[in-house]
Amino acid sequence: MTDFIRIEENPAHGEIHGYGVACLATRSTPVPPEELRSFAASLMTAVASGCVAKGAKDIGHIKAYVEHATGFLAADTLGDPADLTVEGKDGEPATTFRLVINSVIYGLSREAVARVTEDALKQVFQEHGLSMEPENHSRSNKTER
Amino acid sequence: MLSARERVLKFLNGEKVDRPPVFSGMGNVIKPVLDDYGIVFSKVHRDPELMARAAAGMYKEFGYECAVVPFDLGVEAEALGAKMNFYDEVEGLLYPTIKEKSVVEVEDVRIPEDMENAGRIPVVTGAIKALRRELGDEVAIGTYALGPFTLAGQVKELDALFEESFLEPEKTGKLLAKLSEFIIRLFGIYRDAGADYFTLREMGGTSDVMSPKSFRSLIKPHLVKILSEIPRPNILHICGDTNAIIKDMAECGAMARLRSVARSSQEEHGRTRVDSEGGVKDMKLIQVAGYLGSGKTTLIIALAKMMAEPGLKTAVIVNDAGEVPVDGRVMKEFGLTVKDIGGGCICCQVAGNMLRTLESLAKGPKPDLIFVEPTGMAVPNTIRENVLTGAARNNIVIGPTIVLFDTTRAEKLLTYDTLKRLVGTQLRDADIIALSKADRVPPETLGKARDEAIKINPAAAVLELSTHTGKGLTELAGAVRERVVAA
Repeated sequence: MTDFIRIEENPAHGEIHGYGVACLATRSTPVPPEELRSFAASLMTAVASGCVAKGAKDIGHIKAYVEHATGFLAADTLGDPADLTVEGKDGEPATTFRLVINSVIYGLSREAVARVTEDALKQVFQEHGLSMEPENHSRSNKTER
Repeated sequence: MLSARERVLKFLNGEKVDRPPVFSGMGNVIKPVLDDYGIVFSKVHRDPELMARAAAGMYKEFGYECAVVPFDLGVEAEALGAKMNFYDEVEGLLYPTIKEKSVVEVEDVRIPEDMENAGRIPVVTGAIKALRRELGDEVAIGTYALGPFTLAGQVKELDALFEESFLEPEKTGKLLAKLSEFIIRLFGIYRDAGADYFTLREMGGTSDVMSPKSFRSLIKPHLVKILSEIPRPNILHICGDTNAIIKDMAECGAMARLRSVARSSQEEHGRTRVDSEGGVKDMKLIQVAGYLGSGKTTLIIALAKMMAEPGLKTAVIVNDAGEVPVDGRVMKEFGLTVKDIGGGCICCQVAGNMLRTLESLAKGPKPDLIFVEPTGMAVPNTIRENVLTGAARNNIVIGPTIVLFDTTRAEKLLTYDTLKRLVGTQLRDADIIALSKADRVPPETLGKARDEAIKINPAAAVLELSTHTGKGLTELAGAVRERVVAA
């Protein structure tokens, strides 16, 4: 009995669903480091509060990173504001940065997690006057099972 | 000089023999015997005389000191209502398989009152009697039946059985108890027909399929009961990886235990470890598992830094819960060698990718230590089992599985049914439970988390961990360096 490899999803995963997006963010005026941190934190909070509002039983883990030519920030939250962290190297103000976000939530459908994440992205991008371009012209809208 | 039968039976009874007997607990046939005797294999399963002739041929032509019937694994299932495919159109050695299973729930198991005449049981008893007539007391006549878990897999759809045994083990326990009754009665029938020794074949209990913990809790109690009630001498047979359960097999009470020898032989001769003289170098795999947000990435970064000090080369395999990896990129920022696996969970959907990634590490950078960070929803033992299938060829040894238990959310994680089940499973699979974020909770909360962890997995080492203050890191680093739990 070698190479016993399962291809079905483990039933233990239960009601946990995830959604991920990778995109490029641009703005004509450079985004200073402190605003970039604030942007990352706002995004975490917006996704977490959106999921709670939709009835999530637990914010499994929402995490993101932003990177640009001179800086790299990682952000994550488990839902509690005290847990929210934004860490990394600030670098110079940037007009373009790459954003990757993953939301993994317990107690919401995959579709609901995707919708909340997309809505939060739109809202926070708008608040910071940012435009969004799908990475490599193909934004990930796949869901993790 | 002992006869073949005397040699086998004395050996099984623990008595002195002139030399080890050459025998088996399983039904064996070889094609030259079938060809010489003019027997079509697909016919032997339904004709007692043909079955006996084929089995006797193993003694007469091949020198085995036994004759064992039946040959296929469907006799019990068929007696319980399953439909067989005998492949009548095939001339070669193709074993019958079950084409239609008969059980969904335990209530579907109906043990026939007239069991002696159910399905092909009379074919087997007829063959035992025919063998006795033909061979007399010259050769030991053996027979076998499947163990309850293996039989459950023959009468019930495997996917459903595995899912149920995982999510509702108490239901599977009831099914195994019912099947155990059937198996005990079946062995009595075989004894009355004249068989000399009896093998209980529980192939589904191998650690390739079931975790040792599941074997102990779900299967072993039934094997103990069966082996205490069936005729003797008896044998317990489990093939595949049995290293972790060999003591349990011994405790089941059979007079002999048959197991695979390849792996144990490898251990006896010693695997090549880190070899300064140009030998093959082993890579040690450390799994750092635990629910989402429990601190796995942070811990791996901290441990990898500590391992760099004694000069150990590390690599990290990260499986993110999401289509777009985040953790791997964060680790790369800390200078670690990272292999990202996406597209699903390595405990199930993309288990094959995990093996391929290990192969590429074995062929490429050959790190001393490989940290594996599965998704927060992964089941550690399934990953360990998958890794073990390719461990030998990739020179991998398995270090301890560290499972993080987030003390800031301990109570919540054990509140919801499905979440509790997942977190409980993760903790049960741990060699070391690290009570993470220990600096952020009051002592009474920490104490409760510790109590829960011990209640769920009393065998695991439990320690308090804070990557913020460094508490517990030295102990974990020591375990990572020193402990090997499987090779």
